[in-house]
Amino acid sequence: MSGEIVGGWEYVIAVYVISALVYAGYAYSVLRRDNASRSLSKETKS
Amino acid sequence: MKPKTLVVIGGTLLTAGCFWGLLFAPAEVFMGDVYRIFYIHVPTAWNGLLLLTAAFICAVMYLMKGDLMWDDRLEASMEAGVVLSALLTVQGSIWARPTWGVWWNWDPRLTTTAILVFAFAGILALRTSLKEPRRRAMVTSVATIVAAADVPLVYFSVRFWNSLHQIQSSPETVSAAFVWPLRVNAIAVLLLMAGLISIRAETVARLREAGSEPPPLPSAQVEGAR
Repeated sequence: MSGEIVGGWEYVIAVYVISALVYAGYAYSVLRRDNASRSLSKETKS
Repeated sequence: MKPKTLVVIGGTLLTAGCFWGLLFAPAEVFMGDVYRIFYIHVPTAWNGLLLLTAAFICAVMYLMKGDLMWDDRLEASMEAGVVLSALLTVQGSIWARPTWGVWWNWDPRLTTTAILVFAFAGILALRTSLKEPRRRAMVTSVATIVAAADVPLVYFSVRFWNSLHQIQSSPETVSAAFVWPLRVNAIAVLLLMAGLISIRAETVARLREAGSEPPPLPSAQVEGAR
């Protein structure tokens, strides 16, 4: 045994896919809630 | 710079940094291609701890100044910090499987990180049950200061105790070929999160102001008053 890890791309791809989904999902969630709060703010003022 | 511009620049840079780490950076001698997880895991960890430290600073500032603007910033920083800390736990667990042979180990670094995620997620949940803004800000600030004691424990856990987890990465401990994609992603996540926190803090302030305004008078009452 050399102690080297062979392969493992499935773990790498899993991490990057999950990370992309979390970063994109969180950004979408922040922007969506921002738009909703702007609409609510307009309704409250009118 | 506008927050949405920061989000676009951060997102673009993060995409470029990830492709650099996945396709162009060399494989590590012992960990091989699994090491590529490092390029997204470490920037997530650094920024997660940075955001929770920012939440701690906002909590202290609120207690000192009493301005609800600091509570808005606290919520925005903490929410983003919890998202990144939870993500880093998942990333680390997936990295642990091929390198340590297990998905999870009650190692000091992993345990203190799990405590961090649950403590701050608990504070966010607590906020939703408190409707009065001043009371919510006070309770959250005190709880944040208590929970933030775990942030240095997470960072120094690999030095304080015997840990399976490697010590903190720095340009002195990482080969030059690995440092640049790491730096690009660290800056990218920082810009992305700075933009998102600015937007989120504005949203929280807007909702608070809308909620604190008295409801409009019914038209009948207004006419009656005339």
